[in-house]
Amino acid sequence: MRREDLIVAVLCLATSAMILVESVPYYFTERGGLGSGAYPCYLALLLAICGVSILVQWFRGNRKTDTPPFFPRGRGRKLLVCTAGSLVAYRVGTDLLGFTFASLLLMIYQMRLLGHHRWWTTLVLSFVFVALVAYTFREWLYMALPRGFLGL
Amino acid sequence: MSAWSGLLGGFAAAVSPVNLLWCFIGSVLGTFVGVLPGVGPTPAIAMLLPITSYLGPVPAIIMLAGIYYGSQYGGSTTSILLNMPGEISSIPTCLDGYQLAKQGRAGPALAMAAISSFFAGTLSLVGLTFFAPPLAEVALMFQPAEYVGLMVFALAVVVNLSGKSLTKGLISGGFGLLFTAIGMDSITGEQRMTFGSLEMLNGFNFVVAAIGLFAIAEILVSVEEEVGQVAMMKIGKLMPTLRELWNNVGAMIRATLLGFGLGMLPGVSPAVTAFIAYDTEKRFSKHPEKFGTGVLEGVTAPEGANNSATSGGFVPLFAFGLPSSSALAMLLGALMIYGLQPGPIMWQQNPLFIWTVIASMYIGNVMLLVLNLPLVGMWAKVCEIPYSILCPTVLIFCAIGAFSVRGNVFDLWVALIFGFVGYGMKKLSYPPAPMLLCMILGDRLESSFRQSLVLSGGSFSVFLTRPITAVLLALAVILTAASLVARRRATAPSVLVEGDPNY
Repeated sequence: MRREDLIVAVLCLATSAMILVESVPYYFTERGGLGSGAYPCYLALLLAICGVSILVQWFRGNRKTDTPPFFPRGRGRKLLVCTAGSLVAYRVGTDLLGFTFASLLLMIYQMRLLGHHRWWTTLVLSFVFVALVAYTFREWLYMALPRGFLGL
Repeated sequence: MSAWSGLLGGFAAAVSPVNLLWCFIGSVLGTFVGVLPGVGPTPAIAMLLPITSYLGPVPAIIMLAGIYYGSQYGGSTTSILLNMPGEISSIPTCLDGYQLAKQGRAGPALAMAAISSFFAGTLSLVGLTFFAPPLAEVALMFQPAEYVGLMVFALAVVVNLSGKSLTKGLISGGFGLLFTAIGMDSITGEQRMTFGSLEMLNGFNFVVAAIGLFAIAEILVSVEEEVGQVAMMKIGKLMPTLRELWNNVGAMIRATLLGFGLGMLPGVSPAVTAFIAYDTEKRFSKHPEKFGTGVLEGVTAPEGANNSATSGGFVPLFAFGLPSSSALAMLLGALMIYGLQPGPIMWQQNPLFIWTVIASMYIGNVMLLVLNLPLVGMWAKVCEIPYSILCPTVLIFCAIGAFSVRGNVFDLWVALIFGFVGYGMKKLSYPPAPMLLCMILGDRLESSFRQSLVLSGGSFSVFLTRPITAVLLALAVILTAASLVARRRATAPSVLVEGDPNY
């Protein structure tokens, strides 16, 4: 067991408690069968048992101390954080700027971040690919992709 | 309808120009997905599934099925040429395939992989043709209690085979079941755990979750590992000698039987059967010490087994409506989107649909042999696409796939969050497959469970007094107990790679 598994155990126990609290207003039994509150309670019990199991294993000494760090070090960490951040920005950007423009920005950023391609190559490839995809899905498949304030 | 007449009717429908076109597209896409490391059939089907709603159900399922079995063909290319498996099921192929390539025999290795895949894939389809209908007849006798037993058994197999820790598998599956409980209760209509959010009323869609857990998570891991381009072996002369072909017939037959039999079991993916087939072939060999140094049987066995397992997996899907892997779970999702429920009812109401899909798989195997044998050099070029270009294109397709499920931008957040969750699960060795399978089967499990209790007047003894249910539940308990004992002795093989993105 890693130290991070302790966090998972706490998460399981917290989730279990939350489910039990949320299920209180619902019936446990109903017309000879189970009500809508019963199934979540069984799941809460399962998660609680799993959480306790991890805690018991941890406190019985089943620990690994030589595990690699959860997050990488060096350039790997930088790439991970930048990629994760760009995905969050992409999601927000889809609402504000629209799918096409947000996708264009994502592709430019990712190509420069991961491959250090030249600006000319990056811009041409990104523009052509995103334009093709947007045209295919909007015009051929009539998919209403988000347009944002720019209408793109 | 007999199997022969059904199959002939299926062929008559499958050879229409539209169905042939989508079978070809699925085969090409499947090979492409199989060649690319890090992109498996599950995320590919998840991304394309919403888009197929613009097609009819028959061409859509034909195409998606083509992606699934096509990916098993494509995975061997990078295994042999780059020592980098395109699919997890092609890992054993690396052991001897790459050694053969280093000896200048990449061509015969690639050819043998394609021929074995075709042989096993086609022969196992014969098994599917004759096994599925009688099993569907048995499934007609199933009531809600039997379905509870079957799904509990299936989930027990998946959880027990997923990685080294049973607890982690249970946590993954438990959260998967929890996600299906969020939203409107399908029986009473009450809102559960929505926290007043309108978006949460419909719960989490499993297609969106699959995109996050398998595609986005894999990209985050690949980015962190700084995946780049690698050096590739030359192909050279393509075909093996006739003697080598003859010497591998036994291996192909064994791989077919093993793959098909194991593939029918829920939770046993093509990856599992490939490993077992390699190990079995090594035991059957007169020279087991040569395995790993470059023998053709080391390529024939796993490649044949992973292809026959794909056909075997369709048996429980068509007979019971029970997927045996994540990719088949996506196919089940596709059928549900079209309002079709595979199982005994479909065999009665819409048998031509099933026979058309099965017939298309025969045709698809022929297409894949043509695509993978003479055109293997073209597929090898695909490996040269820089990851810096591949990564953002896959992310954009993920976004389109996630959005198009319900046309709701909220699903983009869901996919992203599941992507981060999937990344964490990979890092901590929590298998994502139980979570996804539980999300797909959870609704049905709960409704069958509650219906069983209503029919029995609230008595839980219904799960013990009905013989099929009792046997299935007992098997689930025995399997779990045996797995616990084996783990304590540390002898259980981790047959599913933890965090296998392609299971």
